[in-house]
Amino acid sequence: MNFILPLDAVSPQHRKVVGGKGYSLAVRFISHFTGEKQAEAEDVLDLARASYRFRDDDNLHLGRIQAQLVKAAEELRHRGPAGTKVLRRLPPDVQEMQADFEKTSTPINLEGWQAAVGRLKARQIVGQPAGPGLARGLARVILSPSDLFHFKTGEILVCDAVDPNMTFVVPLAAAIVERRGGMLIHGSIIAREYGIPCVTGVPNAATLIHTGDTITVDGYLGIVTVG
Amino acid sequence: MQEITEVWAIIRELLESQRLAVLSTQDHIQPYSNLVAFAATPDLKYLLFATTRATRKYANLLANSRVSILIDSRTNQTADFAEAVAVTVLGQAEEMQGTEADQLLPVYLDRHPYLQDFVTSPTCALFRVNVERYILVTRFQDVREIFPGP
Repeated sequence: MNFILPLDAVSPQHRKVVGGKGYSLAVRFISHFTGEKQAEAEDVLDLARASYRFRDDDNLHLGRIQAQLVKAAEELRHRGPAGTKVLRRLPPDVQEMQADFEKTSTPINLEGWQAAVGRLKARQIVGQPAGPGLARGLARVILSPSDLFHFKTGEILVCDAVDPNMTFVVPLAAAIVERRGGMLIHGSIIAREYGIPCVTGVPNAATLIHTGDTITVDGYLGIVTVG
Repeated sequence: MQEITEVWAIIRELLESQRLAVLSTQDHIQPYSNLVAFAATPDLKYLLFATTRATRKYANLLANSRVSILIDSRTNQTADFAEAVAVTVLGQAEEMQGTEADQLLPVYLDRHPYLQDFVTSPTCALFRVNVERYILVTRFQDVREIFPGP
């Protein structure tokens, strides 16, 4: 199932991107070639986009398999010692995958912040520039999968890590801010593909930024300004 | 009273020895101070600093271009009361664009070569402060004002 193509046609009305647009990147890429080479370059670009979509479909399927694995593990635990025995007999790599998935799926604990004396507010946070461009908009912080369904066009996606299952909202986002760092993580790659400003490696992004905060994402320098 | 050339020499030495300054801006109501990496032009008529456009200081500068800048040599020791030198710079800040920015950028980068990526980012603005007055403080209480020539 391909969510990306139809949603890609939607142009976020409130997106204010300076540079870094997918369209202008494509035009710039094609302009480096002339004559037959230009047609060849267009083909290569189409092929790259198709490969990307296939890759993303794979990620969506993998996400569903992982979710089923977690469900199965929960069911086995409910069945008591016999079920736990079955879990222990799973191949080590499957056990590791299940442990990783459960760990990353744990909702972020906000108790520490709530218990803090006074009030802490982040004004400017530095991460890594992972997708060039500048965008300003309202933050939508994703703390649990259900938050995704509240995402509105032109909002800025703020999350711990862009999960492959979250890909469908990316084309609607004005920018992406992610706690997990790197240029080659899922969020960075799709942000650059869509020409969306992206800053990764922002410590505590999902706790320092709140849904509804107006934030500015500087994808050139890796700076997120709140307010 | 020291000769004017001596005062200029003290100011020049201070500006050449320090890399950071305290920039004060205001939006007509609330003063706001922060550290900036600065550079002075050789004639000491202008100071340069850079900021990204999403900052509070940039918003303040749009609302009110008048600034105060503090540069000093304190070391957080008792000796500072006798030995530290401070200069307050009053003036007006102006965002540089086009050829003016092209001309002043090398002056700034000569002082702060490690800020190349920062200052050349499309989201960063280079400001020139037109110095109207230097206020030099030495030995804790000796205060002199000096005005750059035309």
